[in-house]
Amino acid sequence: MSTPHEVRDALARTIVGQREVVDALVMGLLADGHVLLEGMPGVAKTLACRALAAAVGGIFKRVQFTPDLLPSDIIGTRVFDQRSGEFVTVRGPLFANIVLADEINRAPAKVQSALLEGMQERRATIGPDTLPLPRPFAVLATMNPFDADGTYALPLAQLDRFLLNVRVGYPSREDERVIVDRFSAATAEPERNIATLADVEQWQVAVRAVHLNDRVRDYAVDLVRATRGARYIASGASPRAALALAILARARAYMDGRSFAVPDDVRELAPGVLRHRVAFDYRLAIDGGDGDTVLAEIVARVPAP
Amino acid sequence: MAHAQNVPVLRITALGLHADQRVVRPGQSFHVTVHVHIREKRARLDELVLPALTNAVDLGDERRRVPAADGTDFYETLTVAAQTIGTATFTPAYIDAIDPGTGRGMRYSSQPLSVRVVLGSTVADANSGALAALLRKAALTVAAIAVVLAVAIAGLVRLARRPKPVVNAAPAAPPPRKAGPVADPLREALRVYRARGDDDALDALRSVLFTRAGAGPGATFADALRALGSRDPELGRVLAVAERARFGPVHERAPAARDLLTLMDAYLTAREPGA
Repeated sequence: MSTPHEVRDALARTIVGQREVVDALVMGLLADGHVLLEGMPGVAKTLACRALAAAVGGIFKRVQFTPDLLPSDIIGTRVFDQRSGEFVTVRGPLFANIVLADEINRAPAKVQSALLEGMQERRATIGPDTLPLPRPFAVLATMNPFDADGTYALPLAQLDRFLLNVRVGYPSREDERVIVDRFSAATAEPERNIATLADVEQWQVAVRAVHLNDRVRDYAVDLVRATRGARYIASGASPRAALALAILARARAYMDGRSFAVPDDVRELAPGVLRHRVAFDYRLAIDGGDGDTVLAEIVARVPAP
Repeated sequence: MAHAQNVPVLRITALGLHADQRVVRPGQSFHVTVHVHIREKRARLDELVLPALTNAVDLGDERRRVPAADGTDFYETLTVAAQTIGTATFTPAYIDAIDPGTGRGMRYSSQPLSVRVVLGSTVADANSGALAALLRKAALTVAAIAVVLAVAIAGLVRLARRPKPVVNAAPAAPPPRKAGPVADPLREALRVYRARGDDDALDALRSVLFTRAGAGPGATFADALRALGSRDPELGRVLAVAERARFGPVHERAPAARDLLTLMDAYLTAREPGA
């Protein structure tokens, strides 16, 4: 059986720098969750998702979200078969192991809902048929938070479906030089089939077995609760955030070769789990503040066990 | 979210923050109560902002409203648990409200609060120390009154019968004992952990180890390792084993605890003078 490290290393060989993004993608996969990548165009968000899909094999589908996209373009539809004289179900790109929803905020709410229903229920309904989605199943979505023209903001309830929200920043100067050297002459070709889908499912089972001490669980709960009523936060994170912290802490421990999660696992993952699950107060913008700084202050205020 | 238009008009006449314990052990739960008295009759006081906690964890809270003849009392009782030895602090509770007298918005704050967090044995010491001090004071007062009475009676007797016997002076108080050298907190924490072997004692030991590594209060294992750098790899190993002993699954904790004691003994022995 392959290890998640091999997948991570394969991604790291394709994606220059962006270690945090690579780790987040692998941890999201281990935790059986969906990951939202936010960043400027051209910072390898899509490449990172493609590299992960290639590394674990299985079916990979990419959907470019646009304003004229319809739910049936994602889920599938019923098509009349002239030979049999019956309608048959044609499955959409949602029926894949890894679905890349590129620029998810460029499609209207009804399309986002169609995708997000699949993310939550792990099944999709096409006409009279309710069909399970393949296992493992993960949606990796990208979004450019700075370009608001022609976009449809994802409501909090939908964002909550994403286990992690990763900010993809600009690479360092050194990394950028490597990117130019490596990819100006050839296109980036992700490494394929480093692991199998069966491996991924076994990792996911093993992650669930990682021990979570009561005090570490309580720390995750306290962090989430601390977002409620905090300064600059209009509405705090839901209990789903505490669940996400718990499973991701286990995934991080598993990646680290530990059979137990520690407070550091929770603390390190808290920003990625919380930043898309809280609504910031309008006064934050007036005061020129930054959401991540607010969250960092909350994390610093809650004592770790 | 308290929008400006939602700031209530309130006459706040009391806003206090109290703890039911002054000294606690790491992990021990205690209660912190915010009391607000307002002149208005109100069913709720959602505008009250509770204190932020440092070195303590919020375990739950209970809100109580007591109608009074001159308004309403609200009691918000937080059940909290202290974290590590040091001080658990609570920032002031506050309410933003418009003073009906002036029509201007104001922030009404309580005082901040701090509670000492000490090792288990020291709590008893601290409590019994306070009691002992009280008893000592009472004894001194009684003794002083007795001496004054004795001197007065002796004076009267001397006047009545001459020659008079000499009243023996009270023996001089022994010189105060010099305090011994302050025990090494790491050895003390290890001693307590070895004796008790419970999570509180291990938390206290971890806290002292983190401090030894150079990390401040509320630090985690990663903070401690960062602060330690490459300075003391042995201490790094001790920290890692302590983490396993504290957070590991049940079947790993006992062996990790044994390893921790062995490593700690070796660590401290290597650092004894002349070692």
